[in-house]
Amino acid sequence: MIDILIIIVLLFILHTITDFWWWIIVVPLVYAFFRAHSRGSAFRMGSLAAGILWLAVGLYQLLTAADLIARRVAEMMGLGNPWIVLSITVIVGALTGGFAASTGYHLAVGFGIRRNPPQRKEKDTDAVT
Amino acid sequence: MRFLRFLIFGVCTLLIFAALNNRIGQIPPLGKFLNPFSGFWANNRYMDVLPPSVDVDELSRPVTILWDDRRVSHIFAENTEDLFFTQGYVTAMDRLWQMDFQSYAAAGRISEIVGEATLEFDRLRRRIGIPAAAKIAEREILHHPETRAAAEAYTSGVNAFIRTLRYKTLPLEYKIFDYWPEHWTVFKSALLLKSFSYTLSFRNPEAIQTRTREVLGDSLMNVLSPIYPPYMDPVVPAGTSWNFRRTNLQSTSEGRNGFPTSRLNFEHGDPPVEGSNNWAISGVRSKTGLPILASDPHLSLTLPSIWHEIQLVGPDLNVYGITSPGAAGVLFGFNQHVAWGMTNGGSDALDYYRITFRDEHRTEYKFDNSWLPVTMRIDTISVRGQKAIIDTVLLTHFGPVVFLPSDSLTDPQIPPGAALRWIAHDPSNEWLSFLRLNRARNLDEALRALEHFDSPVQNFALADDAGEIAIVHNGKLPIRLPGQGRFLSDGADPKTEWNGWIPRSHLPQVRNPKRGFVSSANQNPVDQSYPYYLGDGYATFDRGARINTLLENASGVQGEDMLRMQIDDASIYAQKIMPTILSMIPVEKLSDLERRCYEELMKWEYNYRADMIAPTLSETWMVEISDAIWLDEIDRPDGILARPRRDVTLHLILTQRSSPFYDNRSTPAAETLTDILLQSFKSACRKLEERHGAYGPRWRWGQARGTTLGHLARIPGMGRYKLETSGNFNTINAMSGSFGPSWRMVVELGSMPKALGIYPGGQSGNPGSREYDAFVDDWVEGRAYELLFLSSPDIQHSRLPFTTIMKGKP
Repeated sequence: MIDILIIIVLLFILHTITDFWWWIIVVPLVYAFFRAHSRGSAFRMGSLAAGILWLAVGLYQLLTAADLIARRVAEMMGLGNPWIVLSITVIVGALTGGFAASTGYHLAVGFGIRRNPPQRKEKDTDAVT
Repeated sequence: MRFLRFLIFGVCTLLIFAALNNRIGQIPPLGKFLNPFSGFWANNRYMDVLPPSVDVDELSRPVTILWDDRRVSHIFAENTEDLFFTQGYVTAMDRLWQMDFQSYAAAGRISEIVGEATLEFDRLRRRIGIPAAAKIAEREILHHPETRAAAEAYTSGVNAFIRTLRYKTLPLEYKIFDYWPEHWTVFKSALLLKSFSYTLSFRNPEAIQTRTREVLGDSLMNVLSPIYPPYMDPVVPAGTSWNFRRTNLQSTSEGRNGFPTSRLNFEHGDPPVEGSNNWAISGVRSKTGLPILASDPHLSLTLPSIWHEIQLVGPDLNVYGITSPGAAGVLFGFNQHVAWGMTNGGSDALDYYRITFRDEHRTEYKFDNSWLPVTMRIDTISVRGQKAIIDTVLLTHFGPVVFLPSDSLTDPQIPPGAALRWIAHDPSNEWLSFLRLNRARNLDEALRALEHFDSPVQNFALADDAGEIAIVHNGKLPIRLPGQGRFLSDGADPKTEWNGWIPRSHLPQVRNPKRGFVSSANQNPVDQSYPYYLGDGYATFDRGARINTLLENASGVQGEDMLRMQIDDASIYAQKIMPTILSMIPVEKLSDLERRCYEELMKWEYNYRADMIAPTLSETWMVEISDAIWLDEIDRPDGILARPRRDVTLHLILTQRSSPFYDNRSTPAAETLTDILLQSFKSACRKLEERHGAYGPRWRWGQARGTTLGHLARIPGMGRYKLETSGNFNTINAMSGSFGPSWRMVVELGSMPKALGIYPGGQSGNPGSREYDAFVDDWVEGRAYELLFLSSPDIQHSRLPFTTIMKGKP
């Protein structure tokens, strides 16, 4: 939980001061490299952090100033509804963050910083932490 | 094993990055685009929030911008350079993507942004030579100190704004197409001016007319496409005497210059796009005793709108109006003393010359008794995502050979193997005219300003606060033989070349006429009495005649009356034809539905109003009548011929009860006028039922026709669709499906000018803002806004909610 929160705060700061979207790759990847205990936990922290942040900010946009633009973009993409655009935004963010974090975890394993991918049982206990 | 997993996930992550960071087909780069911090979500309403102050190095003195409640900027500067700098800055703030994209389009560079799909579009612009013409125009602009100063200040203003951009603040379209704005240049401004010439003076029917004459012969050709059309009501009133004689006539060629054109492929004619009006009334007809000027240019309608509204106040000028983003100053507008507006002149500015090449290498062509060398221009067209395309253009002393017979690329207007002679290729500096018009203090100064205006030929209506009015058919016009340029010319015969230029003092013009008004509606500028031949491609009489009828009966006029005239939707054409054709319909032969339609038309007072069904019936019937009379004459197995215009059809029906044209040659029976009117009426009703279902509200003109303001780059979702508009191309409110009144302006001159205006769009180019299309609904309803003409930056007004101070170097 605390991992997710840390990633969210880092992402929020970097997204605010710069315009690069790929922080949702870099931050989960690096964070998981040092902190993830299993692929499952890595994917979860990456996808939840990026997904929650993009959902929160996207929702804020949609409910405040971005109503018109979201409606036009929905029409442009043939989706018809701005809420579907928000959903896609969140899915893109979550999947990207998740994959990036998993990569970070496997990178750590590859460099021998982490043990081999744990057994199913250990992975379950990891997930609880 | 552990490396394999890392490898698999690593590759997946890289693939995700690549997929989301790049544009794939028509899909924007989703990672960048959807990022809720800086992607499209940032192009929201807040993006249009105005800054209270802006710091820029280039300004020499502070500039004050007052923004009114419609986001029109009123710029007050202490010198001209600062004024145009700020205009550039403010225009870029509102419309950067649009002006940049339009300059790409004129230069034939859209493929750099879009990819292969627009390659033919780009190649055509380059073959025609729009960028080459702009190169010459740029030289002229920089050559004259007045235009140079304005253009350079404007350019550095645009670039000062571009410097402030980061990804988050980029206009939406850059994010969709995934590219960055280029630096603005004077050349880009020149490109935009030349693209106006292309839009307004590149239409030319000589290819199809040449073929039509070949098939039908001279005498039939002159009946179906006469040089001077029936019911003509010219800009310079009939009966005006000319106090000069035609000069410089040397040619003896008899004007027969056609060539075989059987290789040309024509499509069925598009619905007509036409419609600009302007007029000025003198004090005898106005309530104030001073002139009123009205101007409503009609163009293809897009969002963002082609126009941007502005007031510019400097040491020696105070001007209000609209301009095209990319051009400093005001194109249509008024100042304290003078108001002006244009309609397209339509005089022939372009001829095609069939070229005789010496051999298949095409390095020489025949002219008179010698062979002249062909110059080759190599053009490189960059295409996004693939190798650049090399194109070779052949140049003659006339101009470029746009298409060769072997080219796959075609345009039905452009005959293959012919060289293009076009006035827009000649050196000229129209910008100088506008800058001087912006400053003109009276009619004489305004008329003198027009002497620098060559292309595209325009009818300038003018009025001043001393009570004078005038209209000039203004531009650079070649001296032609009667009928010269109606058909393809022989490029080997020197006698077919133009014979110099009509002197400015001989141009068709009227000043303070007895009838107390001047007007134009793209119709013939003059009748046969004018000593020069100007061309044959003018608008039909109907709009102009309606304007003149209304003005002849006008007195005590105020601004609102002129606005009401601009949205007038009564059709003189329908008024002329409908009683005759309705009286010839045998009512007993109609079905229930047809009788209902018939009765609807009987009640109709010839207004094309959105909430009526009769206009839909009338328009559909007219198309069917034209098909029934002409299709068997013009639709040939080897291609279509020129379709006679609606004024010719009207004249035929009103004057001839029997004619061989009425007979449908593909049926054994001999049809009469009554037969084809009945058949076409029945077929119109049937087609409407197929298109719109059972007779009902969906047959109403507003729904059945509808007007769409599509996005400039045709991005779906960024336009306004199927607006329920009134008017038709043959009414003063000349509305069509995607073409119509692009600016309505009425100016009452006086100690302070009082003006109304509206355009279909909004000041901001940001589709995520309400200011993007804020004026559209009022425009549909025919309303207009009171324009705030300010004389000082210190003014307090409830409609001036916001101020921006532009600060210079400390």
